[in-house]
Parts: sequence; C-alpha cells; structure tokens
Amino acid sequence: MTNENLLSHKKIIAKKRAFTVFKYFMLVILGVFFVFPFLYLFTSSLMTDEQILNTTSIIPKTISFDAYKILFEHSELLVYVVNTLIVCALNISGVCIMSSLTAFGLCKVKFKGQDLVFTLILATLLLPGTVTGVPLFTIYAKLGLTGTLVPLWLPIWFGGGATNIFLIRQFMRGIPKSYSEAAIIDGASSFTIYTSVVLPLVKPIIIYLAVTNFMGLWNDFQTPLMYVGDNPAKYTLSLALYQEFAREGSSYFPNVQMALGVLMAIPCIVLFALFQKQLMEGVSAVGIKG
Amino acid sequence: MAKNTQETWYRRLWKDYGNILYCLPVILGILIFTLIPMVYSLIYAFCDYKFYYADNQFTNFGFQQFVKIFSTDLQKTMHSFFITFRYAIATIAIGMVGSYIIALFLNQKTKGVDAFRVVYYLPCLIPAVASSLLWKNITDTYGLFNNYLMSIGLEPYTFYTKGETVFPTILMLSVWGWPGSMIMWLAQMKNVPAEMYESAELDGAGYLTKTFAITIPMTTSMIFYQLIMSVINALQVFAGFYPLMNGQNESELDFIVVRIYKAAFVNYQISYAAALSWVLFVVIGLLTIGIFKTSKWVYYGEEA
Repeated sequence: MTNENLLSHKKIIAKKRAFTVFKYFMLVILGVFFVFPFLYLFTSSLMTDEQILNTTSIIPKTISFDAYKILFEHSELLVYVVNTLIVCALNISGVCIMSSLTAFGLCKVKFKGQDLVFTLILATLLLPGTVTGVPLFTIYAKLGLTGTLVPLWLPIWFGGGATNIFLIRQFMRGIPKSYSEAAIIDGASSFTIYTSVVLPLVKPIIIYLAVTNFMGLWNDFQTPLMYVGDNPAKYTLSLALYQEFAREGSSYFPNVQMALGVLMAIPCIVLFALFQKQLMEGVSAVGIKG
Repeated sequence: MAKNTQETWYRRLWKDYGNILYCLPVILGILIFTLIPMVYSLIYAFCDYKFYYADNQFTNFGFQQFVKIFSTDLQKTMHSFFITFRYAIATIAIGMVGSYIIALFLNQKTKGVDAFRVVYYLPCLIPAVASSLLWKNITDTYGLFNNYLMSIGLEPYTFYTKGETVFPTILMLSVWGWPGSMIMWLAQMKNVPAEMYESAELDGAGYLTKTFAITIPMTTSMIFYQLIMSVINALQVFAGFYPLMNGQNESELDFIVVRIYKAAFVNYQISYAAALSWVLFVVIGLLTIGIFKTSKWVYYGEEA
C-alpha cells in the first residue's frame, strides 16, 4: 500500500469513528428528550404541593408521598379501579371470542355475500366515530343506559371490533387449508374446526390484540366522558382523573393528578415489559406481513 | 317427491347461508351501532329534536340546523374548521416527516439502538388524560418550563394560558407524540428485505440513494395507512385537549368535535350537534376519497 492510500484509509476510519460518536450522541439527546415527560410523571407525583405549584426542577427537592396519601385516602378510588377493570375484562373477553369467530366466518368458511360483509366491516373503520356518537347517546339515554358502564362494553360483543377482525383474518388466511381439510375428513363440523384447529393456531395474534386493546381501553377518556358523563359511581380511572381530580373547581393539586397517572401507567408498563417485542414491532412480530 | 324438493331447498339455503351465523353478531353490530345511529343522526339533523321532552320530540323538519351553522354561527363554524385544519395539517406534516426521519436514524445497525428504542417508547405509556394534565402543569405560569426560562434570564411564555400562544404550544408539544408513529415506521422498515440494500450497495449506492430508492418506496403502504388514519383522527381531535380548556384558551381549543360534544352533551342541542357532525363527516369523507384517488404512489408488495 502506498503512503497516500494509507493516509486516506486512516481518514476514512477516523471519519467513521466520528460518525459513530455523533450517532450515539444523537441517540442520547433524543433519549433524554423523549423520556422527559415520562420521568416528570414520576418525579412530580413525589413533589410537595408547594413544589408542584412552583416547579423549578424536575427533581423534587424533598421527596414527599403526600400526593399518594391523598389519593389512597380518596374513598372512591377503589370504585374507579373496579369500574375500569370491569370495562376492560368485558371488552377483552369480547375481543378474543367475537373477533376470532367473525374472522373465522369471513375466511375459513363460505357463504353468499361474504365479501359484502367484509367490505362493510372495513367501511366502519373509515367512518368517523363522531357521527354515531351523538345518536348513540340519545338511544342509550332512552334505554336508561347512560351513566352506566354498559355503553362502554356492549358494542364489542357485536363482532369484536373492525380492526381486530381485520388483523385476525389476515392471520387466519396464513393457516394452510390442509389443516382444516384433515378435520373435515374426520367428520368435524365447522364449529369444531374453529374451536379445535383454528383457535389454538391464532393464539399469538389474539394475545397481541388483547394487550393492545387493554392499553387503549384502560386509558380511554372520550367514550366514558360521553356515556358515563357525571355519574361518579361509574367513573373509570381516566374519567375520574378529569372529573374528580382535575376539572376546574377541583380541590386537588397536580401532584395528586400525577400520582393517579403513575398508578394508571403501571399496568401498561408491566404489559410493555412483558410484550415489548410484539408492541414495538407491531403485527409483523406475530406473523402478519405488512 | 314434494318432501324431497323441500329438503333440498332447505339444505341449499343452509349450504349457501348457514355459515353467515358466524358473522351474524358483526352484521347486527353494524346495524345497531352504525347504520341505525346514522339514520337517527340524519333525522336529528333535519329537525328540532327536543331531548328532554316526553313526546313531540321531533318538530320543525327542515334545513334550519345547517342554515344556523352556515349563517348565524358562520364565524364560529369557520373558526372551528380553521383551527381544526390548521392543527391537522401542521401536526400531520411535521409529525410524519419528523418521526420518519428519526425512524430512519434508528433503523441503522448500531449497537444498542434497541435499548434506545425502548426508552423512546416510554412516553407512549402515559395515559392520555394524565399526559394533557402533565403538560398543563409543566407549561403553567409557575411551571417547570417558565421557571427554566426565567432562570436563564428569558421572559416567561404564556403557553396554554393565553389564546395567541396556544397553537405554537400545541405544535411544540406534539413532538413528544412522535414515538408512536416512529415505532410503526420502524416496524415497517424492518420488513424491507436486506438483499435489496446489499445489491444496491454493490451498485455503489450511498445512504441517501438507498433511502429514496428503497426505504421510502418500500414503506409507502404504511405511509398511506398512517396518512389516512392521521387525517381521520386529527380532524376529530378531542381527548388530548379537552381537559386543558379554561376561560383563557377556550376559543383556541374549540375544535369541531369539541363543539359537537358541547352542543350535544352539555347543552343538549342534539339536532345542532348531529348537523355539525354530518358536515364534519362529509369533509372527512371527501378528504379520504381524495387521498385514496391520488394513491397511485402506494406499493403494496408483490402479491397485491
């Protein structure tokens, strides 16, 4: 190697190294930037009233558990937790049972008008929820269901949600026909094929949907606000956080709001820790392409 | 003989339509929770629906709600549409480009990037209402941001507490919402076959060429999906800002869905709310069709 070549080679290595340093530098800067609100959620819940009303630093000067004390002494907190758990449990079981059943009906058996049904399901995905929200409220009110938890879980039992159906259907289409054909030869009915052949095979996508749906429902604010409104006995955690702890005229300070935020974030953090790969890589991690 | 034909008729029906039973719940669901409410909504929009009356709830059929939206309330309507569109266009444009660039950056084979991706995902775990309240606290008059500004000798900023600064604040804080879409971009980028990059490298393609000739074209289906969903969601913006509303910023956060919500659920003007929601529906529908019509640039992979 000539001297000149060696020199340029060294230059390239130096350049590459500088670039790597720059990359890590950027990664750290971005990391600090994006993690900031997450850290603030925790640290601000540990601040005293005085600090939260005049916050000079993200790190609390003195660590105080007063906010948590106030929160846990709130007489209705358990009611809110139970309400939220009821809504989540009824929805998640609805998602798992109904959306897999519907997806099965859409791709593993045949009936006339199947394509039309599938198109209608997809069309509801694009429909803005606002148009149906107001009339649904009047219908629920007529039936005496406003101010109860029923509007928060009933719809999912009718099909299991368009997105969920779509994703399970995509997944089911990947199951080879020979699997169910073997069962047909054995004289199995289509429902037996659903329960004993297809259902066990779609478990990964059902678990994925259970987790993502839970995270959405647990934090949902708009639906409970519309249909539960101001009936404190039926508040979910998100609704309570606004109506009870944050609305104008509420006597609670932001540190208590953040303490409730931390409490609400915990189940999601645990789920994230358990299903990190699936949540970050999306449906492709559970075997759906694109 | 007659019995026999009857049986075949019955059997054929069962054979053709029996399996529809699997889809019966979803068909009923679309009927009960989508189609019937839409019909109701249309009827409401064209009358004066009295929510609290026991009878004679439907009176005065006509166009008066739409006339009100576009004449008496024209200014309010235009203002709501203006701030909603300004919000949608600005946050979608900046958000999609910004989060895509960061995703490109994170898509490199650098050791430890995966750990950083986990860190970037963390803000997505904050509940939406808690997130609104958190930013409200941080941007308060004596909040963290203003105390920092003052400590380095700058003037405090009004953020959400004054009408004029609400929109810049929304834009600025929307950056912290990027990780959600970043994660989706990254998932899609991982699906691009490595051989494509390898053969491009053999042809001497640099990073930019590879990005523009491979990465971007191969992720257009996700770009399209995110664009459609962001438009539909952004035009219906509500939950993220409703908890922040107060006397000072009310008018700057009066998005269309906020007005629909207030009309229906606070003032019980069901008909007005229904009419306004149809206006929004038509706007979103036209936009969605428009985006679909111009979607020739989308690549769905080989089999499509």
